Amino acid sequence: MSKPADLVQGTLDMLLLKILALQPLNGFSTSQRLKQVSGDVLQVSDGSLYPALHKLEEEGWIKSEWKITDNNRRAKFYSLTRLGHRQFEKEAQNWNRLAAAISEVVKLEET
Amino acid sequence: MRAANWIYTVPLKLRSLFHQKQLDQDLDEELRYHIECRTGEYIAKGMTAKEARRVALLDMGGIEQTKEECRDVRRVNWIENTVQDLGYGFRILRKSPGFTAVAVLTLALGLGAVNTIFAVVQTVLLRPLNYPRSERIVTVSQILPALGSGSSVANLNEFQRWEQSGLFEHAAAIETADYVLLGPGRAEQLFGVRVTPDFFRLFGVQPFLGREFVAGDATPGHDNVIVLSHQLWMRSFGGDRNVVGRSIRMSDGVMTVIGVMPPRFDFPRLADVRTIMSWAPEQTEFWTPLTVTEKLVQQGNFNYYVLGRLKDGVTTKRAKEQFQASAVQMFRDEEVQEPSYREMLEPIIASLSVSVVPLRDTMSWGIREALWMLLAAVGLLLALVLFNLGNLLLTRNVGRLREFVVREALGATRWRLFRESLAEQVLVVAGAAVISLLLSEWAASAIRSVAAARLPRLYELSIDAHVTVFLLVLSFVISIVFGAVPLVVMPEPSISSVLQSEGRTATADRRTSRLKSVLMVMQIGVSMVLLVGAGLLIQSFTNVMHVNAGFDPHNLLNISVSLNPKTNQDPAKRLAHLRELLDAFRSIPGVESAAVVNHVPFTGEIDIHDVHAVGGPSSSSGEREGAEYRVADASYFRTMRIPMVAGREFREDEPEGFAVVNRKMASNLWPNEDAVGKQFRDGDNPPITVVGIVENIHDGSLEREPMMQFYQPLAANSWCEQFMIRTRIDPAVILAVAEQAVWRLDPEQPISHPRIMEQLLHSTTLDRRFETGLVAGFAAAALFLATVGLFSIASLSIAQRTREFGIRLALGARGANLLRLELLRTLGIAFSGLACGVAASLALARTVGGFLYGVTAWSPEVYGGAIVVLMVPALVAAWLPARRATKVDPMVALRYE
Repeated sequence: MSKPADLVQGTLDMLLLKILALQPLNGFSTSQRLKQVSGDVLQVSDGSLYPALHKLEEEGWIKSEWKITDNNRRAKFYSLTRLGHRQFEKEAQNWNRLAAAISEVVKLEET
Repeated sequence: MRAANWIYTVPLKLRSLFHQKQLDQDLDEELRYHIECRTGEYIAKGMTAKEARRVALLDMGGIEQTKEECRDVRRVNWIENTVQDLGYGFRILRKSPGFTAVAVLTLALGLGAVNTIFAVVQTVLLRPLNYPRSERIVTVSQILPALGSGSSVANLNEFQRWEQSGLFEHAAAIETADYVLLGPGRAEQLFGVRVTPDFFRLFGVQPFLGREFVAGDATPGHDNVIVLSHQLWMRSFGGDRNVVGRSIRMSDGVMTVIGVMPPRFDFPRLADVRTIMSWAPEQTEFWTPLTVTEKLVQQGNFNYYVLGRLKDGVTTKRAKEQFQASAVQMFRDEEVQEPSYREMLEPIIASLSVSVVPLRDTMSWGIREALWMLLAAVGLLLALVLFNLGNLLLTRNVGRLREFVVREALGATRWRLFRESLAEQVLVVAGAAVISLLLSEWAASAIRSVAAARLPRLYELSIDAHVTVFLLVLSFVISIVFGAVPLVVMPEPSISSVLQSEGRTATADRRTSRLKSVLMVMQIGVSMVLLVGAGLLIQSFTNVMHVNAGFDPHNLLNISVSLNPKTNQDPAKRLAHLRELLDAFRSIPGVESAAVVNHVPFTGEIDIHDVHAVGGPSSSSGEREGAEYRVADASYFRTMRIPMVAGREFREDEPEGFAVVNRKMASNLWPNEDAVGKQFRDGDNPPITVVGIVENIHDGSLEREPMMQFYQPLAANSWCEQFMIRTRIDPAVILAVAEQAVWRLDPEQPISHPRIMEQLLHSTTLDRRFETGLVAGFAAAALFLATVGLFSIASLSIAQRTREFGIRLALGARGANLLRLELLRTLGIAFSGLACGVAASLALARTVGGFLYGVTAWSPEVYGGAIVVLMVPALVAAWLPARRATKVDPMVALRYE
């Protein structure tokens, strides 16, 4: 069942793609890493993380693999596909354009 | 799904579809790992193990919801949901078998009927003929109403002009012919055509064996060659491939077989060409060359049918204009040569018209209107079925409103409800499709066997796939419009009101019931139109059946004996042979009397002569009416049981120069005078004296007024081959004995066309029977549908208002009053429908005029009858549910739902 993609949802996809582009991670580590690199600003709730990851996989942007973790547990690791890289480029471009535009608007001086 | 993605996503989708269990386990493990990690994190922050786990689970926001969301992402939604929807739809349909049966069966009936009739229309009117580039093949004829020529015949002079016009690739003249084949066994009568050599090239068919005609075959002395039909070759020559080149013995000479045509080619065939050729073989069995000699051209007989294949780029319009201009020119030239003919030629030129019509279209002359009428009738029936379906679906959805509302409140989206309803509709339409295909296949084969002899090209009848698909899409759209769309556009307030009233709806939704009433009014209107149409046709049919043919067809046998040309050339000998044959028939036990005549009524053979009274006022040539001419022996009137009006019958030895006329001719030629003893002329021949007057008889059709008719004795022309035998027992029994009697006298005389006159007469009303039967069938179906519709609307409205009735009864309303109120409501709908129906029927009345006989299109009896027939079921349908409601116990009613 498709849901309307709002800004947050779209951005979450992009952020997840970026995190996973750096290195393959399991779900928990992904959320930890996001929190860490954004200096605790960006945080994804546990409830929305997994549906988002599964959706990315279903789209063919990431792929998953069961691996053994450092503490010797079996966990599902996600990594970016070629298609995922391309998708990230696209979304990042969009984002940059949007962010630049917004900051231009915000910087306007009141007369 | 974009193209680039599918390499990745298709395997995933397949995995999602077929490895659901594995995926669920994976998901489980993945989430469990996460929760454990998170719990570990919280413990590290100093929470107790129990507390940490609780918070971790809370973070997840409900583990089952998350799982479900993940599954939703994974699901190959449309496939899974569709299967689920279909399954659900099937269960719903099974739960209400009554609704399902009515919806599926009525839809199947409507679709099947339209499909079948359209297949007939398509086969007869629309499909191209089965020859290469058949649209180029045309029939050409010159019509001269001033000379009394109305049919599509031409003379050889015209044919030569057309052939040499340069507009045709090929052209051919055709003349019917029959031969007697003298084989080793009994003589056999063959029916076929003589054709000019281009005939087969015109159709573009190649012979199955041997060769087709070449120009040299149609020259005097070389024209004793014959091409056989496949059927004749199989029947009489045992399919012997060596038949080509063999000589066969015919009654008037030896002929050489040069070819055999392929199985499907038997042009002209009576059922196909009866509109253009008044006399054609039922199936053509042979073709021989038609030699166009100078003498034949000079005779100028209108005996020939002309076909042509137009050159590319030549339109029928251009050919018509060119031929017309050249014909007018020819008459003008004649006028210049013989100025005295001017007065005679001018009216001819004025009325002359040449027709060039595609062969396919000429085949359907005269039946086209009937077929379109049937199609319109069946279209009305389909409209009715669709209205009915819409009505049923609305009724059902209103009944299920609460269910939908509750489900929506529980989180189902409108879209999901819509899709589910759609799935239900698909099942109904699919079921109806299967049944309707079976129905129309069955109906098509029934029509083929009943009407193949009458309607052209019916042997090719088949159900069309495009039409089937179109009809299915149409019914699907209708069922969506009435079944599913109301769900989606259901206004929010209605939902909350349904919920607030806790399901205790006191009254039905007003908009729905208004829509239903409108549908119902339309249904009754359409039924009314069909009923009136059927009533008019049935009335016409009864009128036709009551027409007296003028002779008694019961126990009357007609056999045609092909007189042996070798022994019957001398008129005296021929007369003696005829008497011999008559005596032989009369001596058969069970035979009451026997007579001989040249043309039998209702067989299509007709001979029209121009007559005028001697000394009487000569009518102007324009309005002169021809008289049917027959030669008959003394016992003809007795055998046919044609009543004498005045004077006497012929004597056995009646000489030439005397005649019996029919009542119409007597009163036309000698109004208000006694015709017996008067004289008239047949063309320019010597005067003929009237000895007796007989009743008029019908010929050709019971629906046409009889023409003038006159009879001459055998002395006038004894080449008569039609024997009429009046029997005391079943005439079919006599037939075999009669054949033996003929062969005992001369084994080289074949018998053909044995006819039981009762059957012949029956077959002339076949068209009417066919049309009337079908339209009456449609009307009956319409009546049934309208009744079902009314019943359902009345039942529903009352079921929904049971509570209201309960309250009113409890407050002291009387049952009788409520009953009357409900009856009035339904009757109001019925009357509006009737009014619409009457208005529509009156508007359409003009179009059916051509199909009526002895009844006007505004017949008050028929309209009255149709109203009564519709009102009775309407009353019952309104009364039954209303009575049930008023009999209900108020307490039960209040607890209803």
